[in-house]
Amino acid sequence: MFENTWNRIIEWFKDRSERAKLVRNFNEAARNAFVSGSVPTLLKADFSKGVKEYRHDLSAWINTGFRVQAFTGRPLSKAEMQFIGLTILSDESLIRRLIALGWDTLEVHDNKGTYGLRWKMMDHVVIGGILPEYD
Amino acid sequence: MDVLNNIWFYISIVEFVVIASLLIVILKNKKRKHGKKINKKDLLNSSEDVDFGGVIQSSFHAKGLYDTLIRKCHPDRYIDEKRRQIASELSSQIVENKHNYKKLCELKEIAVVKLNIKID
Repeated sequence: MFENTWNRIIEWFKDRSERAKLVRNFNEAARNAFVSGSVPTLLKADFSKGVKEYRHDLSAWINTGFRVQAFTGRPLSKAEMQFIGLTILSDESLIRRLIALGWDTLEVHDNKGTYGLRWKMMDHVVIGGILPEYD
Repeated sequence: MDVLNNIWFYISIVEFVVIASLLIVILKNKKRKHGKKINKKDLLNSSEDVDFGGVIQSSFHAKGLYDTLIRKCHPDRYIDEKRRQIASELSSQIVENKHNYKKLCELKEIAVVKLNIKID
């Protein structure tokens, strides 16, 4: 019992560190792309509360949302937000990593408008086949 | 100050260090036993190569390139059966990689060579 609890504590700290590293890497790549002029808009990833209904077996205790904010200076259209979201969701390795690190909700919104879009990550990846122990 | 002068204080610290190192050794052995099992850790290690730059590029440039390619490579644009076949295969690949800018760039090169078309 003690060992199990100890493992969980260690696992939690590791996951926290990995999650922060992933967000940092994403933001760094976005900043580099913006500074070099290869993309017109700066993207920023952050943690968010997430949606309770989207939870899965690997969901973290808190902050299960992966929020991507686009600094556009104008409200983004639904199609634009949808394209950014679906681009992230179509990257299999990224989405697997996000799910493994405890995220369950992807959010995309801009810095001006009122609305954003949300996706349930589990709907966009099949991991049951390689994670039999979590079935 | 009395606590710092007490020998039992130092003994307890040494005991704590010994217990902690034993726990670490036990945990490491456990991990070795489950080394071959596919678990969350394996999943994380296998996906070290996440291309964030590619995802960000795709978010802004893939749509434009996709629209151009899907229009230029539409099979109905080609009368010749061979080129029509190539265009059909390319179109399906373009649709599959709609959100992958790098892959779309590769398909663009293939389209230019195989279909003998100009794409800006």
